[in-house]
Amino acid sequence: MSRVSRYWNLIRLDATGHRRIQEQADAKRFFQQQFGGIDEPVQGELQAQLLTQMRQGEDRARQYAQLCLRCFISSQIEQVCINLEQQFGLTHGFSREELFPLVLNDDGKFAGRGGTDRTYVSVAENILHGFESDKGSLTTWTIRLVKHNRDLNQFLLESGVCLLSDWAILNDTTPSKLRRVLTDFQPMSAAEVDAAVLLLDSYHNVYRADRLIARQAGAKGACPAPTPNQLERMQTTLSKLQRLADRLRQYRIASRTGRMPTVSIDAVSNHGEGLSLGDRLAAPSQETSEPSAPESFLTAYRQQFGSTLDAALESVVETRLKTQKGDKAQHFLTALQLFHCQGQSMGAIAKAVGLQAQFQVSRLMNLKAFREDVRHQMIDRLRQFVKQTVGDLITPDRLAQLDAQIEIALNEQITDLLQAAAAQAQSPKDYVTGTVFSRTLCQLIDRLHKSDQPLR
Amino acid sequence: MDLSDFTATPIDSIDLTSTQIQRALHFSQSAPEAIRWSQYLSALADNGFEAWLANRIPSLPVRRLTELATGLWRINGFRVQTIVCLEEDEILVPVLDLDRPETAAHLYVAVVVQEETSQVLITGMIRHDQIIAQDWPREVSPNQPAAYRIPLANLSPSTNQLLLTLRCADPATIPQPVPVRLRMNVGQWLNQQLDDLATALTWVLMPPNLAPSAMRSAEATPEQTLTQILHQLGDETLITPDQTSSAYQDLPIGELRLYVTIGAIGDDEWSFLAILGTQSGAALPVNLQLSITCADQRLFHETVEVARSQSYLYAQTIGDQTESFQVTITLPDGREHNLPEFAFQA
Repeated sequence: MSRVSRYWNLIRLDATGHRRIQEQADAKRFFQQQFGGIDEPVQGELQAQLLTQMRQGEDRARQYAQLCLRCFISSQIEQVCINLEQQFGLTHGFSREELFPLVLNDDGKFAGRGGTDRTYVSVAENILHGFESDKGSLTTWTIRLVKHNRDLNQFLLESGVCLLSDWAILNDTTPSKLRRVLTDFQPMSAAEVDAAVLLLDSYHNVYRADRLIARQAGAKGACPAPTPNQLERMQTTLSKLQRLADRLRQYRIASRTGRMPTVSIDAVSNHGEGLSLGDRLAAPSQETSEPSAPESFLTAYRQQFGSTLDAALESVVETRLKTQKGDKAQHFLTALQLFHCQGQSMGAIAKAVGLQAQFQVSRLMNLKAFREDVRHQMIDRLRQFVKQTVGDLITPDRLAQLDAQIEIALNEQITDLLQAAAAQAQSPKDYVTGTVFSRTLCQLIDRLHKSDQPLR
Repeated sequence: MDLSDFTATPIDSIDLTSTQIQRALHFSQSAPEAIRWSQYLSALADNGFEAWLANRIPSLPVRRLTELATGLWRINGFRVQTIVCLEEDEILVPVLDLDRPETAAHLYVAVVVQEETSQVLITGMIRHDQIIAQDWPREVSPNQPAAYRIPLANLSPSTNQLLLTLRCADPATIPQPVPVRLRMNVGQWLNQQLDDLATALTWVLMPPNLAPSAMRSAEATPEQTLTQILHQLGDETLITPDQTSSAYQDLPIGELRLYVTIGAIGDDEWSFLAILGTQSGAALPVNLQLSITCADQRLFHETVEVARSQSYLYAQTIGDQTESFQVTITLPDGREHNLPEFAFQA
């Protein structure tokens, strides 16, 4: 689509829900009449002219100008959906086609006088209606409103993608924190800081109290924008509050960067590698000091290690199966087996257990928690032994060391540890990830499947 | 297109149920308006933490040490304090709470509360010894106790370390502040003398052998109020009016006033009567508690159960002259205020 054709091509869904580009002949004619002679029209100037026409032109021109802008907005809405799909769709199991119906609902018709018979105001019309040129460019404005669309946010939240509203961010910010952000992060004059703190205070007084009342009445979900009545009680305007929230949001993004990175489970292939991805994801973080002298510890442990791991795994799996409700227990076991014993990807596992998205599988298995539970069980079982070795009291730091050492031992390749078994020529099943952890787990799952009485 | 304002929900975040939310709302309703929102969030954090504990360590003993929203727990022998973490970059830990045995904890757990999405996330943990080993920047704001600002980067970021410690470590490896047992010699009151500690704590001695009296006046003095209460108690008191002495202290919490009347019984025993009222004579807040303990054993425990029903609480006991009594006042928000021990002999 050429850059200017966005002003007469309306992107909409047809009756079967498929995306269609529908050329608006009236809009095209009008646009070419207005701007035909210009080679490279500047977007901002174009939009400003169309806005003026839409508000002050004669009847027909008003409608055509509005239609041009609605076409343009439809292309922007589509772009937001595409970008969301590209960034989150795979791991969170949704496609742009699922997002379109939520926000791409303009049919290009006009209310009244033989126009549309739809009963709602389209997202595009709403965006256009609320736009003022002091709000930046129409593109920025559109992206902002689409990103914060309630239906879209609700859908994304259910898929595990969250966007906090401006109002939640303001609710969560204390005056002293605001003062620090505006002093250190985005310096403002002392008078401006004072004014912002006062503004936040009056917002809190009104909005928080009303939110509590609404919650008591059963309100759910995102914090709605303040009503005109609330704004009057706060003695402020929506855009002042939004600007304040924007600054705080920028600060949050900056302080989040580097922390809690989103790990895509499928980002690294786990085939043919020494460590399974599950192993890597679940390895203790580098918060603890390097384990000291793991050799002596492991040598001393070797006798008990295998049987303790076996017992710990059995106990943790048993507890999981007991606490998972309904089909979840079976799904959990299947997912565990597919991941650890067959090296399947999270996407494939999702399909196999009838879940939509990878993140739902991640939630079901919670591999990190699973491994933590197993390691801690092992430490607990070996506690008597550990006490004799390291003295009477076990400090948290010492425990962290043991934990890290056990993790290393769990990741040891099976060939290193079980040469004796191989020599007996009982060639074991060809497990894809050959770590001590996954091998022992897979043997346990095999036993569970074979036994007539499952652990449950 | 910048989508960095969207975040992926961590897989171990806890979804709050509507029952948990309603419980938190109900709880916050009784709080003063200025702190209602923060009490609501604290209650949400506590409810979420409880659900998380039930999920991850269902077999360990867990007990709430104070009421909802104060966030102090005993878990497998550890005292654990949850802290609502509003910011994405730091937690605030009240400085004084770290030094007092009744408020200090072994472990401090940061809990992120996303009210809007009804989600809670356990986001990190730091031990008491790790906090006091460093100098942190302080948060000083009006109406709030001074607090350390501890960057989240200084916390163990995963729940692994928290769970590992709770499951397998020994609480004794994390030192806690030692209670300093202060004692007031109240036997001297019979000689119309206050000891140094009582003087420092601004106890006010009243005339000896106050007789119960039904007399009322608009602006009653502490003596008049006490004699009136003694009159109301009538036969319920254990004290013998002819060998008693009384004193009172206006407490630095909630406009409360504590009256104590002691008396010698023969050569071996003494009686101890504690009356908790307000400085203005107004009714006591609901859920206010008064208790007396002796050698760590709780002897009496009184609670205001109905709002605006009582203008005082009382508790009394008799002991050997070698025994001493500890008075604890528990505020409606769960905070405990321990007074120095009352001893008859030095």
